Amino acid sequence: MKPDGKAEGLRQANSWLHTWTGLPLGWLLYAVFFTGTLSFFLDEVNVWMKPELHRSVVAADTATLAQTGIDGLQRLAPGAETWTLVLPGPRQVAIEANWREAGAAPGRAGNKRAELDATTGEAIETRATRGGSFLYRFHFELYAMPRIWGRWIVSIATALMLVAIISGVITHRKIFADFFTFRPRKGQRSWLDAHNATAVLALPFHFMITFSGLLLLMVMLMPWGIDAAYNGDTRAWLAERRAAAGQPPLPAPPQASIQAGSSQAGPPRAAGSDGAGRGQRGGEGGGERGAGDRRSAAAATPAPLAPLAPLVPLTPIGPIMAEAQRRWSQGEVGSLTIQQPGTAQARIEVRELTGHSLGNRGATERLVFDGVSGRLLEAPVIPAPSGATATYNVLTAPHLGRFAGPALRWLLFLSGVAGTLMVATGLLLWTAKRLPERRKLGRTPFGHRLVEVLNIAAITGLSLATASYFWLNRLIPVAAEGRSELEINGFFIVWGLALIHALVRPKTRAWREQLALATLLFAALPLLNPLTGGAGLATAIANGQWPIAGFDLAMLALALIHGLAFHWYRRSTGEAVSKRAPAGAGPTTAKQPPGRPATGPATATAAARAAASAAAAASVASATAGASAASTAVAEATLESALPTESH
Amino acid sequence: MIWLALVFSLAGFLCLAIVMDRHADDALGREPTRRDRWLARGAGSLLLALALAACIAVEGVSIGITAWLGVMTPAALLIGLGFTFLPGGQKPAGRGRR
Repeated sequence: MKPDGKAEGLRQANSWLHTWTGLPLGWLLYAVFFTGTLSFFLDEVNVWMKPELHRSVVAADTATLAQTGIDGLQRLAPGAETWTLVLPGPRQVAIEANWREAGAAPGRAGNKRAELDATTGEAIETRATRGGSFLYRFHFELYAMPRIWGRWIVSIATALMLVAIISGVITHRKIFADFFTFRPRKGQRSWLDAHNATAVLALPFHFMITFSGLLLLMVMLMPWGIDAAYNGDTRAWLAERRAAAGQPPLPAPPQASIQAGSSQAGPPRAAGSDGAGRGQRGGEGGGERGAGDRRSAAAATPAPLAPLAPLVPLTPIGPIMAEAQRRWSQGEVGSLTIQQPGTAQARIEVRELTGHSLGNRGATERLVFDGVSGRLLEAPVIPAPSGATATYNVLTAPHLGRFAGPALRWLLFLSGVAGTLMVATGLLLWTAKRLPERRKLGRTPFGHRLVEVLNIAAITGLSLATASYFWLNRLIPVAAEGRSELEINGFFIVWGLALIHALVRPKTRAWREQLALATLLFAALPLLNPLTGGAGLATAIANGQWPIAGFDLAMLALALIHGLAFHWYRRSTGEAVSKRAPAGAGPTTAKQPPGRPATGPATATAAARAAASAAAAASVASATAGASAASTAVAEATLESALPTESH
Repeated sequence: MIWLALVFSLAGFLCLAIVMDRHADDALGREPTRRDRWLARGAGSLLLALALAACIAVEGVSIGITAWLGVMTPAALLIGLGFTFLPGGQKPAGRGRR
């Protein structure tokens, strides 16, 4: 990276490019990576943030759970046109019930949803919170701005990231010779090693996640191809894609409400036999931009309104579940959709929990049964995708991770952590590299100070904001007006305070204080949990509620790592430069004069985060990932361009 | 089976690493011969291929390749950290000074 006597060549030019594409949006990318990585465990975060659900204990097989859910819906929504049940997999504790009343608005607007106790089938009233979905949405559309702006901003950052990845590879002097190299306690060299290791060793992931991030927003970024081929009718394109994927057409909204119809992945669609729920590939979510297109009805068949027939009892679900289990030797039922329950036309569709291939985007098998006789009607074959679709799917499916079982989810998560660390070490490297210059000058130039402050606010500040978000989830009264917004406002207020703190305190102090506070906040969360209505660690483990226990353990791991980072940083920046710098703490500042610490903590923080995540992941790993609420959410992000939607 | 792939990857990367200029001295205690290099690289590549095979056997081709890449990342990180921090590994420069 440094000029070594040779004329400025390709490598030097790319070094410049790498630095200046990486830095300006590096803080944003850090936040995107951090929140995006957490989103691999969206379901678990959501469960923790709704402590009312913690009393729901899954203690039955899927057939019993399905029956419990059906009984619950029978009481909640006897007259509904469609019921969809998402059974609790290893990543949930309650049954998710969705239903649509006859004549409900199309799209997600007409969907109603409740969480049912897995034992009693009673609806559980949960507090208003955006839960992990806030972090998840933040990672691609930010907050407090029209979501299309957020998406453009994140897309631009992502594009620069792609440039940074490619120029970074070119500028790396010894990509193979240094493959396994990490030299601690050597200041700038150590930072560079850490940056290189996290970048190179997870390079396939970084490239995939960045490129597919752009692909997922491609309808917004480059709409021209579709505009040209379909005369601007994005809906027609969407319909064609769905047809090619063997999905039923979207419900045609009645003539009056033709503008409707986002095909959101989350809640069930009106006529969708393509049941909602985790892992669905309904993800071609609302590519439609603009509500004005009028031709859409052509593409879809109108959903018949439920006739007001006398109540016909549903067939028992047990044999259907057994049949599905028999046919899917290695799969299990993840969700059920029941059309026209209570009528003679009732149909029950069961869908597999996880898919088995990236090419069809983790598409899952489904079976359709007659709802009255229980006879198998259809076992649709997943159609092979076209070459272009398969390519798109192979690139984007790992980003969404909805196919991922526990081990793979864990691996995706670890790679995400590597990416988070890569961005953090890159940011810290910028200041570490400029230390000699600063020393020569005898003062800190404004630009350097600015980067330092932003590094602190972006890295430990985000830890503080995230921890506070979880705290506020429990401290804001359940009845508070607009409480989910209060939680989110709290997140940003704390983040802002962290920035102010970084501005007014000397650098060393700022790092130390923020690390110490983050340690305390994370460490106390597992104590706060049972005190505020949640299932404490011991209870959760005893009940096999791994999403909850996993979250608490992850918080402890985060606390441990922030604590270690604090400890190491304090040692390396203390009066006497310690002889033995901490292993793993990353570079220290042995060569620096006391009182002028280099960037020490971030690596440690990052490492901490990595470790924490690992722990979290480990605990969560027991969960079979299947698809997740996350996937649902992600799916919706997929192609959705300008469509304002609210998940939940 | 993912664990098997992880073990194959660790072993594979170890083979590749011990004949690299930077690590050979620590790992072998001597300069590797041409033969050493060929043997270790062959074995390393074979082990990584076995890791791929293990992943594909369990997950199918597309997800298997994804899993393989995912497994190699922590494996390589562990090998690298091993060289840095295990006794007898690469001595961190600067130790002893100051």
